[in-house]
Amino acid sequence: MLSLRVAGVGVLFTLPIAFALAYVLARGQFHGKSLLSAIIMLPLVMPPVVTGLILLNLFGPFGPVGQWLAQFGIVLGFRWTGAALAAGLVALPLIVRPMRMALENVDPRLHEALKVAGHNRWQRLLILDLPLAVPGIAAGMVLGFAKAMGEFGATITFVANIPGETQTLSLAIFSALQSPGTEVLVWTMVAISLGISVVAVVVSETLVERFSSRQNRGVVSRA
Amino acid sequence: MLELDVKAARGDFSVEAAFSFPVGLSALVGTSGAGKSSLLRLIAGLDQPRSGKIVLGDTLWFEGKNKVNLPTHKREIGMVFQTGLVLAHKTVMQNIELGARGAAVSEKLLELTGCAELLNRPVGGLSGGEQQRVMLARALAGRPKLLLLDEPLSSLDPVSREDLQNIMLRLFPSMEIPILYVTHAFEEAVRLGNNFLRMEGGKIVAQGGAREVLAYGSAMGQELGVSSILHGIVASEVKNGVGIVSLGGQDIEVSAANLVKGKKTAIRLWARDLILSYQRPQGLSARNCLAARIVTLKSVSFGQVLVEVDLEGQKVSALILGKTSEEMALAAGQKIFLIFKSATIESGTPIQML
Repeated sequence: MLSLRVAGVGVLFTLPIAFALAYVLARGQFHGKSLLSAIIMLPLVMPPVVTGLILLNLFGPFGPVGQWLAQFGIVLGFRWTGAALAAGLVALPLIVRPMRMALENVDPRLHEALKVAGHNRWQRLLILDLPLAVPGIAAGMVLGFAKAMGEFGATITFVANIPGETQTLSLAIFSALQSPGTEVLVWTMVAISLGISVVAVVVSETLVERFSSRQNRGVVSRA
Repeated sequence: MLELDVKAARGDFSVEAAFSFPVGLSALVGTSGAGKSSLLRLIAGLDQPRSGKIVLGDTLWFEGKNKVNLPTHKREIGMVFQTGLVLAHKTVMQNIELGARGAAVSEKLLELTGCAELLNRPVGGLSGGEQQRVMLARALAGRPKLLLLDEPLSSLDPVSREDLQNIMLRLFPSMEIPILYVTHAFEEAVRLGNNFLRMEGGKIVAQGGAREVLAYGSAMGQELGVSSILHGIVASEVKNGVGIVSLGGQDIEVSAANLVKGKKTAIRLWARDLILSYQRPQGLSARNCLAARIVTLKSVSFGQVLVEVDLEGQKVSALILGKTSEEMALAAGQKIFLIFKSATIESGTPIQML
């Protein structure tokens, strides 16, 4: 259950940030766009241990951001919230990508048609981009959630493996594997993990399917 | 009044125009690539000119010198594009309301644009012509101060085209804003408006009535759109499918029209539909054969000749092949018979007078 909470909170907090990033990458024209794109993709290619180390040094009890946040009573290091941060960060690239693709697929002529009808950028975001990006958002969420659930390296490096606080399902399976006579426990947890994954995938597929079919009746243009 | 003096360039293509558009419809004609749509996009603010000035009424929209550039969404325009850019995840009504700028969409607008009957239809199931009707309603819903139409009929089938054209003919004459209508089909422009601008290579090269604009060089197929308007008085209402319009000395038989006896009326003859003959032919199915006199002959593109004749004091243009003109030895001052079918005469719908 801790796993669900960690992955869920991580993904939920990442979602708006990911959408903002995807929007900027899809619509924006600025210098350093590919650099930004590369940075966002980093957690995907970096060894998770490295991600965890960076997090520890930034957000840990002695990290600059961590100390600053501590003034407001927000402690991430060695807490489940820290695990959520790690999960959200590694999930970020996977969430941004499908969103960006969905946003890039929005016909620019539809934007122009709304401009001449008197809608500014933010109104167009609500009227046009957001509804058309729903399949991308759903797909990104599911991918991100799956990735967050399975997150191991960055979590154990950043927030350690504390039962009841930061010990997610993956970490628990790892711990159990190291002590003898826990085969039943291990396989129970494996079964739970599998069950959650299957449910997540089924739910996401139905979501995507429903939204994309609504979409296909959608953008009608006869050139 | 829309005042325009802009220069713009993209790649090796440039647009340069200085012009004032009065209230009413101005048709921007010219071949594709002449810069008509580019000019419209500059006016809408979808593209930015390099330099110059755009003013609508007393509002400055763009001025290169002082870096004034009112964003598109604040320009209070209505615009219809080549294709229907409707949002499929909204209803027909919501699509129209998108252009309303907070105002309520009136029943009358829905009725006039032919959208009232579309309200319960799924947007995804609308035909191209129906989508354009929705786009037109959206463009007018916000009471725009300027209406821009970028070849709104070009992607439609003939029936939808006729439909939308009739809708526009009903709507536009009562609107007191400048309307810019871009088309490459001269015929379409002639039916809708009486102020023409010819664009070529990014510049406005001619302006005026159909004759003046045509007199400037000749664009491909433009002659096909030449027509003449004749004024007459209804001598007999439609009986057995034929009504009679008197031009004074001679009568014209007109098919299918809501004619009211004794009323003045106008009819349109397309130049390409007219046949010239030295004799009054016998046993011909065409119902009209009128005596006229040739005034001028002018060579136009595709080896064709535009013959202007005087018919009861009114001017009529006929389009024939140059070869025919030579073989018949046509010349100014000659007497000639003008032959045409009743069915080719346009009447009934409001006709813009040239």
